[in-house]
Amino acid sequence: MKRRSWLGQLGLVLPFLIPVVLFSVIPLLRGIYLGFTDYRFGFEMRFNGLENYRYMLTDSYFWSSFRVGAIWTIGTTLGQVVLGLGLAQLLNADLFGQRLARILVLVPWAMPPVIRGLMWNMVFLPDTSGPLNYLLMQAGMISQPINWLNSVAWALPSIILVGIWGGLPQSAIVLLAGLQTIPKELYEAASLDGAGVLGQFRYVTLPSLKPIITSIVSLRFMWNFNAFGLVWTLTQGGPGGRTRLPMLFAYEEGFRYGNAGYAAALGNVMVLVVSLLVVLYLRKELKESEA
Amino acid sequence: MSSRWSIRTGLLLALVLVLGLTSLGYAEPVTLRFVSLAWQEQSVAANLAIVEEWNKLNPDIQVEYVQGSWDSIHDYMVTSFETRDVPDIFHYESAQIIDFSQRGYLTDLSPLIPEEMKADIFDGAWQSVSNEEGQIFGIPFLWESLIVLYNKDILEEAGIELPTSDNPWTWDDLRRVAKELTKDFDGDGEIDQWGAAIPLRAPVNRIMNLTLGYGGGYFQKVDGKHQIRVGLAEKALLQIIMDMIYVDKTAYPGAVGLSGTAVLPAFYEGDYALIPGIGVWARQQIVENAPADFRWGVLPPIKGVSQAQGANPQTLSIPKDSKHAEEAMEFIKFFLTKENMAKLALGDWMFPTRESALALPEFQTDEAGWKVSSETVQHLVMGPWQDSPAYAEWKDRVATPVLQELFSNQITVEEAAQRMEEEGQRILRRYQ
Repeated sequence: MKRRSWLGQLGLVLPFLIPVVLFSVIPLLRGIYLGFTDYRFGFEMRFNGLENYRYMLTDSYFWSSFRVGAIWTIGTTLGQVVLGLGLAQLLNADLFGQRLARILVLVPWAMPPVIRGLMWNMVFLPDTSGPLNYLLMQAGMISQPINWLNSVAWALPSIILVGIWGGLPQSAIVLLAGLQTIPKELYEAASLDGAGVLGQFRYVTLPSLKPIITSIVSLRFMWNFNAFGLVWTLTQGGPGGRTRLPMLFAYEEGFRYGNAGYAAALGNVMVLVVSLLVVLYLRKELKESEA
Repeated sequence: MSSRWSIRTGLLLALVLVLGLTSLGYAEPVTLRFVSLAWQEQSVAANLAIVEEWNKLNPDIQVEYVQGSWDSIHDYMVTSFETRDVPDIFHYESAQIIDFSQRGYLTDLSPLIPEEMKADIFDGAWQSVSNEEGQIFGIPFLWESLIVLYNKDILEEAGIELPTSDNPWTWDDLRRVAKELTKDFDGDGEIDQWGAAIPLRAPVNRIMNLTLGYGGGYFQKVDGKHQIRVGLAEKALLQIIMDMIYVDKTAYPGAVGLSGTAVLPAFYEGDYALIPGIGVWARQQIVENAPADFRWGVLPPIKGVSQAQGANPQTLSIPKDSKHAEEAMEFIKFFLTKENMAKLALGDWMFPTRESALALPEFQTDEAGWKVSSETVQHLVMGPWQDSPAYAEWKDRVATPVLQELFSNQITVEEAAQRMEEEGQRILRRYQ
C-alpha cells in the first residue's frame, strides 16, 4: 500500500523532473566532467584528471583575475548593503514624496545589466563630452578629463561604482521591508532609556535587521561574484586585465582560446570557492545569532 | 479512449506520408545560409544587391543573407561549429580562419577554386589562408594596409619634400621630419603643433604589422614549433617610437591612449602634421567628417629594411559540416567576380585582393589618396604569428598590457621585450 502511493507520487512529479534532468542536471554534470578533461574545441576529448587544476595553480593570469574578482565582489557587496541600508532608512522616514521615491529607486534594478553598461559607457565618455568629466571639471575637482574605463587606476573603481548602483535597489527594498517589521514600541522603549538616534540604530535597528542583512549579503555576494554582462559591456576586462573578473577570464578561455576543458575547470573552482565562502559566513552568522 | 487513439494514429500516418512524399518526390531547392559582416551602409547595400541578383539567376540555389557582426562572430561561429548547425558560407578574417582550420572546422577549398581566381588574387593574400600542405581554407577578398596621412598645408608651408612609392621615407627620415614640424608658436613652452601622432590605444596589431618592415616578426618556427623572439629588429621599432614620444617630444603623447578614429578630429585642427601607421579606412572618415577646406594626402608606408606589412584579409569560408559545399563555392565565385569584388571593396574603402579589380580606375585615382594607398598592396605579406594557435592568448594577456605599459613610459623597451618573450614562451607551451 505504502509502496503504491510512493509510485503514484513519483508519477505526479515525473513530468516536472524530466525537463529539470534534461536541461539542468545533465548539462551540469557534463560541465563538471569537462573540467577534468583536456578538451579544446575541435580536438579529441581526453580525461586528464587534475591536470587543469595543477595548471591553474601556476596560472598567474588566473590569480590576478581572482584578485580583481575579490576586490570587485567585496567592494560591490559592501557598497550595496551599506548604502542600501542608508537608502532604506531614508525611504522609511516619513518624508515628502516617499511613494514616488520608492518607485524611482527600483529603476536601476529594472534595467538589464547590458543596458546599464551601455548607459554608463556614455556617462564615462573619456573627453569633456562625458557627463561625469564635465561635471567634475565644472566643479573644479579635476583639471583634465579622465579616461575612466581605460585608465589603469580608475577602471576598477569605475565599474565597482556602476555595480553598486545596479544592485542598490534590491538591497534597499529588502532592507526597507525589514525596517518596517521592527515594532515602533522598541524605538519608544529605547528612547525612554535614553538612546539617541545613533543609539537606536545601534541597539534596535541593527540587531533586528541582522537576519535580513545576513541573507542579503550572501545573496549579493554570489551574484556579484558571478557578474558578467555589466563588466563585459563596460570594459571587456581591460585595460590590460585590470577589470578581468574570474567569469570574464573563464569566458575568454572557453570562447576566445577554445580551451573548453580548462574553462570548465575554472567554473568548478569558482562554484567551490563561492559556496565555501558563503557556507562559512552563514555558519558564523547563525552561530552568533544563536548565542 | 479509442477515439483518442485513432486521432493519434491518423496524425502519425499523415506525418509519415508528408515526410515520405517530400523525400521521394520533389528535389527541394537548396538554401544556403550566408553570414556577412558588412556593416557600413554602402557595403551592406552592395552585399544585398549581389545576393538578390544571384537568387534571381539561380532559383535552385537560394541564398539567405544573415547579418552578422564583428563583435560577436567569433562566439557565433564557435557555437555553430560545436553544435554542427553551421552557416554554409561565412565572412571572417584570415587570422582566425587558420585557427579554425587547425581545429578541423573548415572545408579545404583548394580543389574547388577555379584557375582564373587562383591566378588573379595576390599571392600574399592566398598565403594568409593556406597551410603548409597547400590546403586553402578561405577566399581572401578584402584587405587593407597601414599608410601615412599628412596635412598638406603644414608640409607645404614647411617646404618638406614628399616621399614617393619608389623613394619612401625611412623611420629615421620620419623622425627628422617630425622634429622640423614640431612647433611652439607662441613661445609659452607648450607645443602647439606636433610632428606626428601615432594612435596606440590597441597597439598590438599595429606594431606587429609594422615590425615586419623592420625585419622582425615576434613569432618564428623552429623545427615546426613556434617560438617567440623579441630581438633587435622588434626592439628597434619600439625604441624609435618611444624616442619620438619621450626623447624628441615630436610625437603627441596623448595619442598613446587614442584609437585610430579618435586621433582624427585634432588632425583636422592641425594639431599634428602626420599620422604614421593608420589604416586605409581612415580616409573614409576624413572624406565624411573633415571640414571642407581641410587639405590632406596619403604618403607611402615608412621603410625599415623594407616596407613589408602584415596582411589579415577578410575571407569567405565554408564549414566542414555544410551539406552544400559545392553550391556554396558556386555562390562565392559569383560573389567575388572582378566587378563584385570591386564594389565590395569600394563600399568599405579597402582593397580588392584581385589584381584585375585593383587595376580598375576607381582604385588608381589620386582622389582621396587611392593611388598611393593601392600601391601599398605589393608590400602585404602574411605575418609569422598568424598560424600560431597561441597568438590570441599571447596578444590579450601579454602583448597588449606590456605594450600599453611601455608606451605610457612605465617600463623600458628592454623590460617589455623580456616580458613578452618569457610570458609568451609559457603560453606557447600550453598549445604544443
